[in-house]
Amino acid sequence: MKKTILLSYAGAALFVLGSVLAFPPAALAQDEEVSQPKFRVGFYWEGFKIADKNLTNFFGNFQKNLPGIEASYHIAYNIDVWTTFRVFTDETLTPIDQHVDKFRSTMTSLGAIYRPVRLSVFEPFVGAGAELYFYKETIEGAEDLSGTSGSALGVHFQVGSYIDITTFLSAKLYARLNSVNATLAEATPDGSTTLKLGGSEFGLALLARF
Amino acid sequence: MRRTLRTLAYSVVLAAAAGMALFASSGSPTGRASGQEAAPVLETIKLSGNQYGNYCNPGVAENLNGDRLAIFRGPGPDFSYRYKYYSKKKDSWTTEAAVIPNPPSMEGYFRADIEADSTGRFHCVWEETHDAAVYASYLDGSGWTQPIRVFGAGTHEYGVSIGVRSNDQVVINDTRVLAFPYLTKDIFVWLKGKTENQFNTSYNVTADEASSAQSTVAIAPNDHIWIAYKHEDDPGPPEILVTRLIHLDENNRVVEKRIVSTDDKGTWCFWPSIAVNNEGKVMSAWAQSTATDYYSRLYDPATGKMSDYIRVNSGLSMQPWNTFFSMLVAHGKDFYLAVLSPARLVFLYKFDETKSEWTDPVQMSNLSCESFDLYSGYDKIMVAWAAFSEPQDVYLTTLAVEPLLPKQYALTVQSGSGGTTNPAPGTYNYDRDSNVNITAFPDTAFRLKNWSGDASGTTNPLAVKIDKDKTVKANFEYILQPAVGVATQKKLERSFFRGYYMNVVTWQENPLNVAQNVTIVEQRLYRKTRAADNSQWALLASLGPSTMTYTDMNVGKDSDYVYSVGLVDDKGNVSSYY
Repeated sequence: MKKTILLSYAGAALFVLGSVLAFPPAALAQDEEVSQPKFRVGFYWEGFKIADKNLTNFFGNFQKNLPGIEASYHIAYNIDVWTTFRVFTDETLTPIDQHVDKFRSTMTSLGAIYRPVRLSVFEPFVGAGAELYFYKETIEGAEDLSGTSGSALGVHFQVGSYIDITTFLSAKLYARLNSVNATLAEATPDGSTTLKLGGSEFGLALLARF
Repeated sequence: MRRTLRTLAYSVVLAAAAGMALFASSGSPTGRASGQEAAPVLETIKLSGNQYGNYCNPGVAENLNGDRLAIFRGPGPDFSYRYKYYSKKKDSWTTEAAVIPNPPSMEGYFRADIEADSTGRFHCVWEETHDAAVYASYLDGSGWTQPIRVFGAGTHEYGVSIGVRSNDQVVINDTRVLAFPYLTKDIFVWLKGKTENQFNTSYNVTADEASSAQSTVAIAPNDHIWIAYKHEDDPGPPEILVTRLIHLDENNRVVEKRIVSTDDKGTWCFWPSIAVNNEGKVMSAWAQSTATDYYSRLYDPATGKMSDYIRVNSGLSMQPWNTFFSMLVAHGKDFYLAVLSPARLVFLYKFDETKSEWTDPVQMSNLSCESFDLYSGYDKIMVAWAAFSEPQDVYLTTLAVEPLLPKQYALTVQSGSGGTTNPAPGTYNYDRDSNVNITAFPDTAFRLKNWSGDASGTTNPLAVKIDKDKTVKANFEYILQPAVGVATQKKLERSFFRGYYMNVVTWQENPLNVAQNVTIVEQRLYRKTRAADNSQWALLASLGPSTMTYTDMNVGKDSDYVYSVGLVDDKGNVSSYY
């Protein structure tokens, strides 16, 4: 598992490096840089595949679709500060008494995006940053159950492309890899003391730019 | 039990015995005492039909319903007894009819007495001169019963009286001739239980005396029997004829005998009568020939004290032989004495115990009287009397008096749903001024809500003073019951992060609540630690009315809880929960 994630990270890094080399910043005209919008704000719909197999086995969903919001601010030449927020939820019934068991992870990302080149309406990018997740499991009737909530920090790498639709509206396709691991004070019934809250995200966003 | 004393004026017999038939006409009382503020309320009706005349020997009684029975000897040729019945409900008298429709040799009746029992029946006893026997019968809603011959023919002497005990045992008292020529006589008591058809039990209460006669009986409030009689000793002139008392307890054992009148030689006492008031005091009265007046004495069995002689001052003169007869009756605490005056008029006196005097004479007959009977009704003193002169008719004169306080009052015990009482619901008669405890017994899941009617509060048992007719009802209320069948099953459960224990608690509706159609609006689940003695029940959850299971999550592997489910109904009643 770790190996797979490391390979993913390495792939993402190579992708970012390749993009920068293929489309050096010098290729962009100075006047184009001046005309770039400062803000991109919008929402997206993505598929999120959480990395923790125990979690997916327990709740029974290999992948969840979830909405999110994001915003970016252009701070330097072809570089934006970017952030997004989405909530991952899943639920199931406890195995013995069939009580509703809900899991919730609020996922906040903060990173940088580098857009090395514009190709017609496409504006590919690479990015990296930090992840801050808060998680909580709630069992109906046992709200005071201990050790079922916490937080974790991690990193992300992402690639994708903006697709400018109009002067003020663009779409965005992206893929993101997150590595966010929480260390548990007490092992889960599955015997694990690490909760892998990260995973892979693939989504489509619709953004207003101005 | 009211007690009637009655007898007849045996003037003819006495006159014949003395060889005289002279009736004096002087010295009659002058009527009501001067200074009396209110005139007595007197009412006189004629009882006999007057188609023949020649009626005599009346008797009268009133039962607890206020109905009255009057009997009187009819005219010849058979001289059978006639009766009239007064229905208080109809406020009317029946027409005159024969006492016994088909009497077996009933001609020539001589004397009768009546008393009512607790059921309203009138028990009658009479002498029959044809065979000198005593017969008894009673009248109720079904008519007269076939008369019973109390004892054999040819052995009875004049004078028979009747009393009824509180258990409706009928007591007959008479004189029986044991040896002729009429010198050895004894006083007998005959008893017939409420369900008996014959007078199966008898006692000779003067077997230890030479000879006794002319007795009357009274039943005391404690059901003791008191008899006043004429004791005849040392026969032959000058005879000693004294008034004596016999006191029998509730088991008919002779408790005491008392000499009432002087036993000096030549002192003749006639026709003793007796009454016992509601305090148990015994009054006896008699005509005393040597002192030419009526006399009485009051005896208190509680103290054993006998009063001095109380002279009536009736104006009676017995020289020469006069007609004399007196009769006593008790009306509550009061004593009334009816006497025959020298003019053969009936005068009624009331006894003033503070002065120890007979006072306030009231003339009860407006014609000279042949014979009379005296009875104490609810609010009347009644004198049934027969006119001395032709046409001899029978009259009833009543004097309004203070109504009697009933000896007993009715206590009606009622019970609402959800319990019963002891005594069980029903109507009972209890002695006046007694105290009765009523205990309420709620059914399971009920409690005494309160007493209503003539009682209140929630005291249990309830003490009720019987000072009037009362109705007391025990009201019960349902106690909302907790759920039943509370069971717990501990299970191991897991979430993603945690494994944990939980108690699955289940319970059932309480069938008592279901039977009472209780509407539950809330269920309250309580929990406490089983092993800890000082553990307090803690409210764990408030649940809807239809929930019958609850999972107590995260209870811990070693925790040991017990649970209880209290309920709240739509009236706001809250059940217990343990």
